[in-house]
Amino acid sequence: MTLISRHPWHLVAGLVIWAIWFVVVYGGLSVACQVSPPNPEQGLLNWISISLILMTLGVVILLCACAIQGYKLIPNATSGSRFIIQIATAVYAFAAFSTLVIGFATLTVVPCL
Amino acid sequence: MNNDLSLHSQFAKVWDNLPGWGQLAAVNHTSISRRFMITGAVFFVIGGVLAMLIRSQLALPQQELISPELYAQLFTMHGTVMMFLFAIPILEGAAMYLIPKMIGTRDLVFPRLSALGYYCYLFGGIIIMTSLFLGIAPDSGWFMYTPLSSAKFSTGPGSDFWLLGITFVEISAVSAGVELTVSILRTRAPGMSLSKMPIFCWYILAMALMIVFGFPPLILASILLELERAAGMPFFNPDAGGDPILWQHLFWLFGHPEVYIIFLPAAGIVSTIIPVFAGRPLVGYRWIVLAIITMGFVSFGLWVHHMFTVGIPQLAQAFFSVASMLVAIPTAIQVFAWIATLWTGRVRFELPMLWIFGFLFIFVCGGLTGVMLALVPFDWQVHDTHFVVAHFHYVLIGGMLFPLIGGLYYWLPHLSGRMPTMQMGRWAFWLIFIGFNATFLMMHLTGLLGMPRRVYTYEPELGWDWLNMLSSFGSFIMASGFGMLFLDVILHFRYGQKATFNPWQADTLEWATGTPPTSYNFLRIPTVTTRHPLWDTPKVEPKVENDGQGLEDISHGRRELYGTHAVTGKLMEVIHIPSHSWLPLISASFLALLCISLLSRAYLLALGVTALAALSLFRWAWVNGAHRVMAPLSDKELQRREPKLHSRTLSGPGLWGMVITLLSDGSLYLSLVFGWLYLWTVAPNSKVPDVATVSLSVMALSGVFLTIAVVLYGQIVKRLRSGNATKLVSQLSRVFAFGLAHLLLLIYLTATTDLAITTSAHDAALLVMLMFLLFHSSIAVVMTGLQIVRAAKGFISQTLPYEPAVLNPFWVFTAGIFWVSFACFLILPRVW
Repeated sequence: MTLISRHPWHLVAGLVIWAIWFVVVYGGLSVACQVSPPNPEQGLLNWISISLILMTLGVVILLCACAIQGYKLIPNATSGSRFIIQIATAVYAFAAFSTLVIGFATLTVVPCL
Repeated sequence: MNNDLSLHSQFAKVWDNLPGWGQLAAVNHTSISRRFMITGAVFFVIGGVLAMLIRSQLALPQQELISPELYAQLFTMHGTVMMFLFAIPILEGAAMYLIPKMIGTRDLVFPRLSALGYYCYLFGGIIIMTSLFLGIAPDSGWFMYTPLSSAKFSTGPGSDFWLLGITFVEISAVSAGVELTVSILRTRAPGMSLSKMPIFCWYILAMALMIVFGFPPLILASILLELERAAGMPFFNPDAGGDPILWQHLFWLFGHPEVYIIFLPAAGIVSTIIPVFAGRPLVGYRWIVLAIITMGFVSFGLWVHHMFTVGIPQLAQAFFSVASMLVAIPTAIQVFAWIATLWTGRVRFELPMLWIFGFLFIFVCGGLTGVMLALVPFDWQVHDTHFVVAHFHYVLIGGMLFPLIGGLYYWLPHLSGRMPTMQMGRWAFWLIFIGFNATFLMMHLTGLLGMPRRVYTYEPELGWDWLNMLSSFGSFIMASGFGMLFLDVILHFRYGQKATFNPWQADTLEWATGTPPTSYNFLRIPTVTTRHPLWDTPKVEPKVENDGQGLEDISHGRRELYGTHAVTGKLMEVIHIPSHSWLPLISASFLALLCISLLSRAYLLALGVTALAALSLFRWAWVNGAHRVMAPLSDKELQRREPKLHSRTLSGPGLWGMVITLLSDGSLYLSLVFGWLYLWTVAPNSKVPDVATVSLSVMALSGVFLTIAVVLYGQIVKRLRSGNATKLVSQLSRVFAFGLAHLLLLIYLTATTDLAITTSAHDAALLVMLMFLLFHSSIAVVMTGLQIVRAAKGFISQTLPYEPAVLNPFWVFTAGIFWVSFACFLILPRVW
């Protein structure tokens, strides 16, 4: 499946995905805590934490896949498109890293406290 | 040579401003940007005087130089003036001055918009400052937290001055954001692909897009708070389902990116100056582009770190804490790239470099305290203390003001044709550098000792006395440094040595325009083949080697630019732009009157002035395209060896401007949807909104008419794209009829729905949503009506297909927000 091309949209696509994930995770957490807060004694084994972890992993895998595909495209890119693909690849990688480190908090902090 | 002289005089006739009072009708980017910068400098002096008053009051404990009421006005106005009336406008002014010259073109792409933006800024600034001179200035802090700024606790008109005045100024900022974005993307010199663009343009592109997305949340918040104060709509009142924390979210959704909106252009100045004085290209151009893009995005994910003490869940605090630390990565990339450039270059220690070194020292310190503040427990300890004040002054003065002054000295020969003097410049630098550190380093300590911000005095023997005295002493040293700086700049206009061509041996195209530049920048538009045009072809203007002729023919009397491909820089069309015009001044004057009439609660007058403003804006829209004063059709245009004029195509700057404006509009709309969902789910007395009073069937029918209009309009554009313009007037009339039916139903629905807008925040939000839809639908319908007349007059035709292509995205957007509103505001609560 082609995830990345030389279209300039990819200069920002990784971070757009990151931003959507961030809004969904933060907004979803706030609403979920209002609607159905889990018992704090459950610790991290609750529906909110598990949902957030799964969502984070899914997004990280997607972003990493884009970054890897972009990296493979670089050697064969024309001089005109190499610039776009190089930056886009780095942006996908940075977005994956950002998602992972921010999402890591879901493994350490019990939600809704 | 003689040919060139004759050409220059012909160009000057077309491009120069009108003499005398006619200067007020100027739209040229060089003139407008200078006005932005000079006005910004005046506001800086005013803001500085306010700061000196504050420091005078705090120099000793229990002083009574200034009353607590006046003190509250002073610190509110100091922050407001510095953030909204100095920092953003002066950087926008600098960008507006430099960008066209750097990208090898003659002007910005929407010159009348530049002029409108300037007048909105000037009038808005004057309106806000008037409140200070009348003694009724806002006094709730520059971020205007509710409920302190609400009608209950701020009974005077101070908050109204802030809300209306700042919204007025923000029109200017957003218009500059749109203009800079489109100019950078679509008017670069032929051959200047994205990878060959000067690094400064990347920074300004990011800043402009951040303004486009970042300012609308505050515009919405200001409108909501003003509606609460003036009409009693309780958006921020928990008793009626509102929430004061909603204001904080909307404010900081704007407020945190604002810091980076200020920092990025300043960092762009640093990235431009360092390679010139290091005598080598910037190390890691691609890395810096990556850092700019990531910084622009991540800065939107930090806003809650200003709200760590308001009771956000711990996990959410952790998200924002980590995100706040993440922003250190792109910052560090830039700092290391600058150091590597200096390390590997042969550095010349000219005056601008002094300021760059000052920047590096102070900004790194401010960045480190920023990382400290990103840690939640530390933030809790020092929240609302002088430590925070010290931190953000290190970031803003170090990160923005020092590079700005470095840039001032660097581009001074470009503005004046004369070189700055080292002697006074050095004195100014050291006075400011020492004074700044004496002032704000001390504040870290007073903050750590527990001194809260915004207190007008303090008890002796708390251990804060000598630190405050030293801080105030330092501030006066800094002020004397600024006095020296202003004196130096003023004197250099008379006594400075004449600047030679490209005096600093820079690589970018602005130095090819002459010092000072002509009103049209380039006689012939250059072709760019390298990232460093002036290093590769020193002392000569780049040769014309493109598909066109460099636009050196001016016999048509039009102001023209090249339109190029956004990515590759390939030549696409010739963009004709308007000449001097009184419309920006007239429109801005009506808008200022509207602001004043709203301030004085004279709503009938406001209605009348709105109508006048609308009329002048419609006149603006009318004098476009093939209108006789713009670019009427002629046989000559087909004979010259240049691409088509943009109004004869389907993709010109207007289309790009429309799309970028709609992105900003969309950001405002999403903020409204966020507010609606927030009040519904998170506010203290939140509950599922009761939307039963709004008739679903009438709304749905109205939406069906709108959708038909949008589909029909899309078909018109499709036909024009394939070269078919038959029955244009009747087709546009059908769109107009369906649009009007939709609009009338929407008006009927709004007028007949029984909403308790003063007792329910949900109902008040519903009304704002309906008004938002009405506003957009009205514009779409009226503009289509205008196009019917224009088509009948021959301004839209097979040869002139441009205008429907520009309006089409607006129709689509109008339908989009209608159906999203239908789902979010009316269906979702019913099925919840």
